[in-house]
Amino acid sequence: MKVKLIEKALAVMKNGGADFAELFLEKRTSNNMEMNNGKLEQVNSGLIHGVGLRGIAGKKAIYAYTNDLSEDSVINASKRIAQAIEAETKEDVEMNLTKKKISNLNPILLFPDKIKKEEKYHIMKLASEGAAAYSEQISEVRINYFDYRQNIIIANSDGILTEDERIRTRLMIFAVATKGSEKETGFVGPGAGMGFEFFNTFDVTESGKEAARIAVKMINAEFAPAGKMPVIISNKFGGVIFHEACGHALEATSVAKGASVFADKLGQKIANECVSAVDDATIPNAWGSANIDDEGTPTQRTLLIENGILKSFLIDKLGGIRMNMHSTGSGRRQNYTFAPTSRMSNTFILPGNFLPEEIIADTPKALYAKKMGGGSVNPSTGEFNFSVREGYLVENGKITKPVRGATLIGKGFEILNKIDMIGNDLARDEGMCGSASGSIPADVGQPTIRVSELLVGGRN
Amino acid sequence: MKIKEFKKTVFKNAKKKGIEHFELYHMSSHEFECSINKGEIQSYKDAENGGASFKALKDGKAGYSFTEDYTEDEAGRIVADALENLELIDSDDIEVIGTTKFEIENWKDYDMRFDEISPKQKIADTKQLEKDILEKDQRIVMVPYCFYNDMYNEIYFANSNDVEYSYKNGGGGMYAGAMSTNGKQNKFGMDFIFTTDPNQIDIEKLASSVAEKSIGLLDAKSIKSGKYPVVLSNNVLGNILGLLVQMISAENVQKGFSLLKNKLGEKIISEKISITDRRFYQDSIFNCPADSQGTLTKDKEIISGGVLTTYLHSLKTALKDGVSPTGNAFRNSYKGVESILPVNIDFTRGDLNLDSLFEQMGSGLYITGVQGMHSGANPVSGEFSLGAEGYKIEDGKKAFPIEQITLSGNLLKMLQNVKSIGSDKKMAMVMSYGMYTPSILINEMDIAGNE
Repeated sequence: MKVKLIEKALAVMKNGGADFAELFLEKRTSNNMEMNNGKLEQVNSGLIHGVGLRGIAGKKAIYAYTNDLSEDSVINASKRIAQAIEAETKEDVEMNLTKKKISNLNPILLFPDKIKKEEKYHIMKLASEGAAAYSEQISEVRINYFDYRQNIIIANSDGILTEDERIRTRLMIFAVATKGSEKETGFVGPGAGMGFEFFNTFDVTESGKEAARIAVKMINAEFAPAGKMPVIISNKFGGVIFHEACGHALEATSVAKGASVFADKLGQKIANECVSAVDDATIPNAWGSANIDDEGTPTQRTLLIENGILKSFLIDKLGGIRMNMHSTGSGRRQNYTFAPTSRMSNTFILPGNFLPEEIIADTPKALYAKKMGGGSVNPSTGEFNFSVREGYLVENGKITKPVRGATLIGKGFEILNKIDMIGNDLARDEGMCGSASGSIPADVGQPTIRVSELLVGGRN
Repeated sequence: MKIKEFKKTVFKNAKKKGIEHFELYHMSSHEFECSINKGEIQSYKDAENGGASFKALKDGKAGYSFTEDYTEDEAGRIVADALENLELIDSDDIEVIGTTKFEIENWKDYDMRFDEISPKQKIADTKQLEKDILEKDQRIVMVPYCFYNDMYNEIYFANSNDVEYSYKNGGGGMYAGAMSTNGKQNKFGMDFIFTTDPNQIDIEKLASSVAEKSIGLLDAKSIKSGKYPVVLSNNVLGNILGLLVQMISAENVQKGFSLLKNKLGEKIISEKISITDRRFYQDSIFNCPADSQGTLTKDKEIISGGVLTTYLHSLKTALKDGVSPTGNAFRNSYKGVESILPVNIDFTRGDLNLDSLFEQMGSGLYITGVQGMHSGANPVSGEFSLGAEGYKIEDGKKAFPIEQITLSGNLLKMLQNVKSIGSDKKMAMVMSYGMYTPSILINEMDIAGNE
């Protein structure tokens, strides 16, 4: 798209009364492959190419998108925004965009669109074989591979034009164990903001084995006990607890309209003193990282909670206007068909002093959640739930038998105060986070933590 | 380039490359959405986009490629890409494309009635909904979600066997969630309506329901863990039934991802239950005349008196099982490949209203909401453990609201254990197909509570 057209589109929105006008142009090539039981069954690749336009007047935001990139179509969309905004029109605003260079924190070695698909197939095959060979109880293995290359141009009426490129690569391994008429599943899904060099950073066969190990462990496990009890949550994907129980409620989307339980708590104690947490989109090549957010704001490391005190929310441009605060570089969206809103990137609890073994040894009786599944939260009540993919009982300071089918539920503001031990083994894991602006890659993370009391939903 | 012209170029390129069988699936979508918060526009979206997916077949293998640019270059690129993609396939499954030409009959395209309403009116209606909800009760402090949405899709399909058709479906609706408080506890309740007919939307009625669902839960407490008789509300049953939809997909069955393998003709759940997939359900925004592979959709009983009568099939899975395709291979978008989905799931209607279900249960739980379907429910094993809320029922009446409990079970065992089925029926919000379910009384379910 020509810069002249971008300038014209922004000017139409400004003239129509927008205080702020923005254009997000996206071109993305992607590749998706699926292998079932060692056989490649699907390969789909393609291109999306479209533009999202936004006009903001006061606290009101109007969004339009189209993938007809002709001048008529783009200007027409800008005019529809100007019309819907119903603000006092301005005369003869001219836009002169200046290109703003950004520094690349996420270097790429092997662009996935330059790698032969045979090599991707090979990676999938290794993962599949790793899982299938783990045990006779493994009955099915599904591998999904995907990568994309996203090129974006963001321009706005502050006169800035920025370009960025994001590369993401991910492998998802799903193993099923069967015993009689019962089935259980194990899942591992390594991903990164990297190209194909990602597969030089870990052993894919081992990842396959890991997915199979979880499925086999669980098919041979009893159902988890039900009721209130201490819960020790392991590192990596265990961080989903913070993501759901707290992270979503710190997003401007909820906070600005007062719909979050933390809306009026800035500077106040919302968690136990041992809890500090950050959202950091600047970790090189991490799954949730980016050089700039989807509004063109440079990303940053945001301290959310320090020693239990709420330090910051996660803020996008519109949230910033509504809350009278600055953007934290948290405006994100799935693609051009979504208006951006405040979202997490790589969000995790910072490490404490305990060895994970010390936490377990200190606990007479608990549920040990070694691997967490997904979860969800209602920000207005703080009620969350998440599933335990791989669980064990802790008895007299020792991990004893495996248990399956456990769900953890509670209220975010309560659990933060009940975290009473934090380990030193911080690690992150990859997930997809769904919310108002679509499904986006995000890392969760934490060291091993102990929650003094949580409701475990189980069977026994 | 317009889509028909683009198709011609693509087909020409495909023939030139020597591809024997191929198809083009095109979808264009139009969407309007606005939301209101505190009387002001919170979000407003007015949009259109579309794209095309090319599917190439060779030696029974299929490759896909899609684009949003209808250019000469892309018409070449998607053909070459799809061909390259299929070369890698080593699955033994045999892919086919539709061979039967047909005319779409007994079908009326979506009449675009929501498009006749001005954006101004849609905004005014959404403001009215928020205002009505807030005025219902002083304890309602906020309406965090208050949305109006309408959309329609235009589908165009053509393949190398001269199967060609197009249709338009869509509709619109409103949804809202209210937050109420008693000073110590916040409660959230939401409701929605989606329909092809704007006249079905009763703002006042929707506002009452949203308000009631929020306020009703205030002063909720947890209960003791144990086994309880349970009435699941119509929408909760709809949500949990999403698991069954995955189990009856022939694709999942053939790959070993379903417990229903080798169960055709067997009684898998209570004889009180029959489940039908309907191509047309009154006012459903999901109605459609043909699937995404050129097979006409049709009404079919999937479960008849508890007996599994058919799986849902694509062309590929039908060929493998030696049966006729059922018209259930759908694409949510040109960006993806087909997955097996129903059109509208229609669950047996019973003869007891909600109060009668409570009366019959005597003492137990009425579950009105579950949380965590995407994580706490496993479509392969049928096991689920979900966060839940609702009411304690004593002497056949609502005694008090409950919160912070989990509801656990196995889908098939739960549906074997049905005592009675309600006469109410509602669409559940499951997004990609219609789900119409009644409330249902289950003899016993596992509950974990805080007390």
